[in-house]
This record gives sequence, structure tokens and C-alpha cells, in this order.
Amino acid sequence: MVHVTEENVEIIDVDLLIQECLRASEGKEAFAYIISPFISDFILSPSWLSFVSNIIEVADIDSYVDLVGLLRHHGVDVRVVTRSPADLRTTTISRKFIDKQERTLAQLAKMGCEIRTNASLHAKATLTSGGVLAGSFNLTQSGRSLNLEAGFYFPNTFGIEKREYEDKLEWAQRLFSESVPVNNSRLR
Amino acid sequence: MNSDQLSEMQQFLNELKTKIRVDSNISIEKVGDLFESIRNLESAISEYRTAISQDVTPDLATVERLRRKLTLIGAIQSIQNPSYFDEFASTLAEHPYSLPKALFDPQGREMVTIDFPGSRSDQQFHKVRMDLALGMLYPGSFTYRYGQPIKVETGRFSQRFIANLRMHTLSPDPIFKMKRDGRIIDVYKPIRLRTMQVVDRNPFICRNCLSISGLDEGCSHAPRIKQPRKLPSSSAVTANQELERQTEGSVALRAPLSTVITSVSFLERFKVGQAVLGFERSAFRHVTIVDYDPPIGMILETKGVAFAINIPPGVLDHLSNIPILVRDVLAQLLAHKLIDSFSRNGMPSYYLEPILSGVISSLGMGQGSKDVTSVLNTFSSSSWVENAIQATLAEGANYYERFDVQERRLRSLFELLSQQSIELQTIKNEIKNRLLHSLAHNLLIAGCVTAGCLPSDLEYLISDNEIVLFDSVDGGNGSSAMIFDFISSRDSFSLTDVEEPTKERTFRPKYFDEAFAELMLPCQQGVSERIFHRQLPVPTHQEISRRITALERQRQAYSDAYKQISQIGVENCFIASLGFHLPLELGMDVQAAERFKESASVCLHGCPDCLVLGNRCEEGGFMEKFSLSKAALDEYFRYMTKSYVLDYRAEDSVIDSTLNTQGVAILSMQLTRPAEEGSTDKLDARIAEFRGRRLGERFIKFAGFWVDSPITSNDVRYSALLVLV
Ligand SMILES: [Zn+2]
Ligand SMILES: [Zn+2]
Ligand SMILES: [Zn+2]
Repeated sequence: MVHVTEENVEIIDVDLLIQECLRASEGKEAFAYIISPFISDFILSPSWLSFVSNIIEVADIDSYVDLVGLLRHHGVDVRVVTRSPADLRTTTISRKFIDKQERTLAQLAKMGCEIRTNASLHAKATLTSGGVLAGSFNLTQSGRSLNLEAGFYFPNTFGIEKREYEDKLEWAQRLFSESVPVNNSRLR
Repeated sequence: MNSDQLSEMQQFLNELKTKIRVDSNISIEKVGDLFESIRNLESAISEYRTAISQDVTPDLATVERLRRKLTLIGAIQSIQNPSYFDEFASTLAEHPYSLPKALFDPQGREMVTIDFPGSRSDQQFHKVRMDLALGMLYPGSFTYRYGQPIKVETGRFSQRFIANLRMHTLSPDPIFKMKRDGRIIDVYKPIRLRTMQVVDRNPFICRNCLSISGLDEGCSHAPRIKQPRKLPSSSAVTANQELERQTEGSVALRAPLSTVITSVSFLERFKVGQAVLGFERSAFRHVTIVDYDPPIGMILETKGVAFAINIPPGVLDHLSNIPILVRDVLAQLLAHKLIDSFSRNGMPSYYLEPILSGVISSLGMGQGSKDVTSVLNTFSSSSWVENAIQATLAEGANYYERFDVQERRLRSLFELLSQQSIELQTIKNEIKNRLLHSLAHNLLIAGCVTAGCLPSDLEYLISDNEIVLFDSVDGGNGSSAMIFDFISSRDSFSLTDVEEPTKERTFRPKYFDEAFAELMLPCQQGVSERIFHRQLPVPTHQEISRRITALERQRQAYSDAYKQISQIGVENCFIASLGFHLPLELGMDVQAAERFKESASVCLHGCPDCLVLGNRCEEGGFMEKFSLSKAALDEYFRYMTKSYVLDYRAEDSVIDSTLNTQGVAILSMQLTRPAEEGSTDKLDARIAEFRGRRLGERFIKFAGFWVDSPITSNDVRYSALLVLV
């Protein structure tokens, strides 16, 4: 297990998604669950994405949504669970932030991601065939930089780590099936 | 059209300008063109506005043309590959067709006078920018620039393939001196270039020397070998010579690239002499190279980026112990030596391959060849000359439609060659030249990707341990500056929120080091070919399997040729595809020989997917394949990065310690068969374990993945790059 902090959370998040693209380009089964109460796009530093390969092109990407787009381009099933913008409007979160969330969801939906909402969602996690990144986060109003309290990353390898991984995968699958599909036409 | 519509149009143009400015996919050159067109439209709008205010009937034809231009601009914007631009634009542009090379034309640019002595119109002289003249109006070229086709004069060159430029007015003194193959040559500035009108658009062209009858060229070859053809295509053969520089700032790259390039500096001022040494002409699927006497050129004050290249002696020792590489580089060297003495013997360049092929077979350099030492011994004994003559003549008679090279010419050519001294050290130096030249191409391609420019916007200059890329126009065009700015080691790892949805943002430019690093990886086509011909385990990655499927299809069509390749081995394909010595030995008929040659042109030393630049290569498109070596470059990169490479099963502590000391680790996995053919599962798992782990102050990141299959070994391997960030 790798402890996840503010410092390495994005590295792992981005890495997991890039490796899933690679797997898909190999013709292997590939998927991604993106679970977060709030999802908004952010620009990735080029150095994060600086990925050299002679079999896959990660070049034209500069934001998180672009990266999800690349997954979709490689035919990866992307399932998103988040809180609905309508639900968020009942909270104290800034309007601007909720608008941003709504725009991002609309983009993801357009790319063919399956989006579901869950009003009681607090956890944030990314799961792929390569591993699970999860943690509990404090909500801040600044969008992306959710305040990380305790985070962990389990690779899908063997032993305890594999068991933890499988456990979390099951949780994600269950969560997804219990959540409400979003009517795309209601997203801007 | 009323004034509201005009305002709407102006509004549209304003939006267009903003878009053009922020879209990094549009090259600087295109930006210049688009702005030029927009300026025209804007002035048209204001004129139209004046016109309607004066209640004058609008010129509908002009409006229609403007409308079409506007649509065109829209169309150009949506074109992914903007190289169609020239074709598009020329249908609407006015004479003379000239695309500005840079957005800002620097003042005081030098001009050349183009002289039309026979011109019936009033204008006998046209002033043309020097760079344009040297790029498009060099002696021997044809142009439709002025409506009627014209030729820039060369006089007769058929005897020795040297064009004496006395009919033109050149500067009285040389403007700079250039070092070339150990000699110093003077380069003169053209002042007035004489042209002649070409009336016959399908003139008779000599199949032997490619001279055109009825113009100023002509030749004394038999009339029966002259055939009418459309005007041949040509390109200038150029070379650059550094004159002065002023450096401003330098940066280091990250590992693993830092092993190849030790530093990158920006050249705020770079003065370079650009010479046009001659031209290449092609017709009848042949190429001839004609040299100028004297060479002409200009001095460019521009900006550049200098890359300090690290080629330690150890890597050259290593490379010169690889027999296949040494043999192929020797063949390339022989090609250069032969072509250098071609003009002295009045031999057209396109005979290079059969002649080289004769030398190859007489020296026993073909497949199952002798070792290099004995090849070199044979070479220095000159006992090979007679055999080479016979081999060349036999090849010529069997496989070339017309091959009228006299025996005595061949003998004098080969005797001249045999007097040259070629030793192991010569080949070692030559390997270094191959490396530098191949690196220069990679840098140029990476530069174009980063700056979003065309290969014609940049030039390269190779010296002993350095390669300079520089803007190809006087005053610079911003490409080098952009390359220097987009070296990612200058950036920190950071995140920024996206305020607006993706569509409104500009594209991320590709970082220079990233683009360059990818070009340093093995060529996908070459790897696929080796896997295919050697029947190695096939990686399941889409891009590789797509190429393997394509090869499989070709094998179905050319089964004999492919059988032949598997017999000689894919690593011998470069040498086997030079001329027809192998088909001759095996008694193939012409069709089988052609098919073999086509199938054997695999990527060993470069292909259009990796290094090949065609006419943009300073050696010219014809000699390019004798100037590059992807195989050497790959082996060089493997050697330079070998201290980072670990077996993927290595202990965690070993991987950690490599990462700690070097900042980089490359986990390597060899594909086994048959059980897990092509699978990366185990390597994937290893990457998953290291992902995001803390090492000291930094974290491990997965930063690269590639497939390799070296020419020197019969295996396929995956490499995963881990870096500390
Ligand atoms: Zn001739
Ligand atoms: Zn290639
Ligand atoms: Zn070149």
C-alpha cells in the first residue's frame, strides 16, 4: 500500500488512467471508475503527462477531461459517480463551483462516460484494472483541491493488496449500481 | 450588403484573428498568411463601406471573391493537415505567388534581380527576396511564378555535371568561405540571375544526363535516347556554415535525455552562411545531381538553439563492434565516396546504386559476408576492381532498361575509389557522422512538432559535438525561441484549475524534450518488421498488430520476395536492397527482382516514419539514405541509457536505489513464448507497485512505455520508464 497525500494524489490518479489507456491499446479489458462528490476539470502540468511511448500517443492532452477523453478513445468504459448539481445547489457551496461541475459532467457525458449521481456520496476514488486510489476528503470550496484527510493506493497485484483492491472494486460496482443515472439532456 | 452585415463580417474577422492567435496548431507561416488575407478583407470592408456611403453600385464580382476567400479561411482553419494550404491558396492568390515565410518581414532584406532577357512585356527585371530566389529560383529550376514557365539558366552541364554560373551576375568577391569535406570553398552572392522562357512544356529530355533539349542545356548524347516529358522537378542542394554566434541562456534536460544532450543554449544571434551547392533533378525515375561552379549563397542573421551532444568514445567502440552496422555504414561511406567522384567521370547520379552494388558484391559484403577486416583488406588490395566492373555490367544488362556506362569509365571510377584509404577508424568516424546526422533529423522533427512549424522553417547545422537548429529566415521566425521556451525541464510540476470548459482553451503544445524523447525510441515500423520477419512473439498493441497485419497482406502478394527475406535475414535487407547484386546472384527475373527490392526496403537505417526528411535533408533526398542510421541511433540510445535499465524482476531495493541515484529507472521485460505471448501483465503489476511511492523528497511516476526488438538480437522487449518527480 502507498500512503496518499496531497503531494502524490494526482500522480497516482493520472498514472492509473494512462496505464489503463495502454492496457486498452493492448486489447485487454480496461475500465475506470471515477468516484467523487465533485468533479471539475483541471489543467495537468505537462510534466505530469510527459509520457514517452512508441505505441501510444498521450501528447495532445492537457487537462483531466482530455485524459478521460483519451480513455474513451481507446474504448475504455468510464463510469462516473458524483453528486448531482441540483443536489449541490441546496448546500452552501459556491454557485460558480457548481456551474463548473455541471459543465464538466456535460463534457464527460458527451464523451460517452456513464454518469450516475448519489446524494450521500462523500468518498473520492479512482479505480482501474491496475489499482485503486481512494480517500476521504474534506470539502473545500476551491474545486479540485479537496482537502485530503487519509488516502491510500492499492495496486492490483497479490496478497493483501489484491484483497483490498478487490474489496474496493466490489464497493465501487455496488455504489455505481445503487446510484441514479443522469439524464444527459439535463446537463448543460 | 448593408452596413450591419459589414459590421458582422468585421466582427467575424476579429474573432477569427483571436482564434488564429491562440491556436498553436497553426504554424507561424500560416498565421502570417491568414493575417495577410484578413488584412486584405478588412481593407476591402472599409472600401466597401465607403462605396455604399457614396451610393455606388457594389462590384459583385469582388464581393463574391471576398466571400470565397472568407470561406477558404474557414476551410483552412478546419483542415487538420495544413499542407494543403498552398494548393488551396494558389487558386485565389495573385501573381507572383509568394507566401511570406515570416509574419514580420524584417527590413533591409537582400534582393536579387531576376532577368528575363527575352521578355516581350515591358518588364525585363523583377526584384525577388534573396531567400526566395535561393529556395525556388536557383539555377536549373523551373518556375511558374511569373505565369509563363521560365528556367533559371545553367548552361551545359552534361559533361561533368557541373554548371558554370558565368551567365549570371555574382558578387565580385566571395561573401563567405565554407568548409566541405576538408576543402574550403568560396561562396558568392547572386546579384542578377538570368532566366529564359520555356515555350515547350513537354521538351525532349535526355534519358542519360537529364539535360533538356532546346534550352540552354543540351548534351551530345544520342538523339534516340531523348524523349518528350513534362518539365522535371528539382530541388536545391544546400549547406550551411556558421559564421558568428551570441548565446543567451542555457538549460539542462532531465534524465534519460541528459545522457544524450548535455545542454541546450539559445542563440540570440546566429550568423550563418547558406550556400546552394547545386541542384537535384528528377525525371524517368532517375535523379541527377549538378554542382554549381561556383556555389552561390547568402548570409543569414537569425536565431537558433544549440544542442551539445554527448558521444563518448566508449559508445563508438561499442557500435564498431557490431558487424551488421559496420558493414552497412561502410556501404554508406562507399556510396558517398563514389558520388563524390561521379561528376569527375561524367557519371549521372542515378547509376550510383548499380555501381555501388557491383562494389558490394565484389568485396563480398552481401549476406553471409566476410568480416570487416577481410573486406577492408580486399578493398585496399584493389584486386576487386575487375570483379566489380563485371558485376556492375552484368547487373546493368540484366536489370536496367538502359545502362550505357562504358567499361573504361567504370574502371577509372573504381580505381579512384580503391586508392582511398578506408580503415576501421574511418568507419568509426563515419558511425559518429551517422549518429550526429540522425540526431539532427530527430531534433528538427521534434522542433517542428513543438513550434508547430514546417520543416522548411528550420534548418540544422552539424558540427563535431553540437547540433544547431536555426530559423530559416533572416531575423528569425520565432521557431527556435519557441523550442527553447518549451523545454519542460524549465517547468515545475503544478496544477491549475480550468476556468472555462476545454473547448475554449488552446491546445497544449508538445514539449520539446517529450517530442524528442519519443523520436529516440525504436521506430514502430522497424520493430514491427523485425518481429514479423523473424517470427518473434507479437505484442498485442493495436499499432504494432496493425502493422503486422499489413505486412502479412503484402506477404500474400509477394510470397517469393518475403521467403527470400526470411532466408537472408531482415538485418541484411539494407545491403541486399542496394542495386540488384542479390537478385543477380539468385538469377531472379526483372519482376521478381523489383518485388524483392521493394519488400526489402524495411526500416533499418530510417524510414519516413522515423528519420527520413526527403528534400529537407541537407544531403538532399537522393543521398539521404546513405547519411542516416536509425539502427545506430537505437543502439546508441540503448548504450547511453544502460545504467538505468533493470530487469523488471529486480529487487525493490535495487530499483529504488537506481531511482535514488539516477532519478530514472527503466524496467525491461523480454517477451517469452508461447505461454504468455505478448502479455505485459507482469510488467504492469510491477509498475502498479511502484506508482506514487515516496522516495526521499520525491515520488515515483510512470513516464514511458515502449516496445523494442534490436537488430542485433532475436527478441522482443518492453521497457517501462519510471522517474522521480
Ligand atoms: Zn544527355
Ligand atoms: Zn523507421
Ligand atoms: Zn539530413
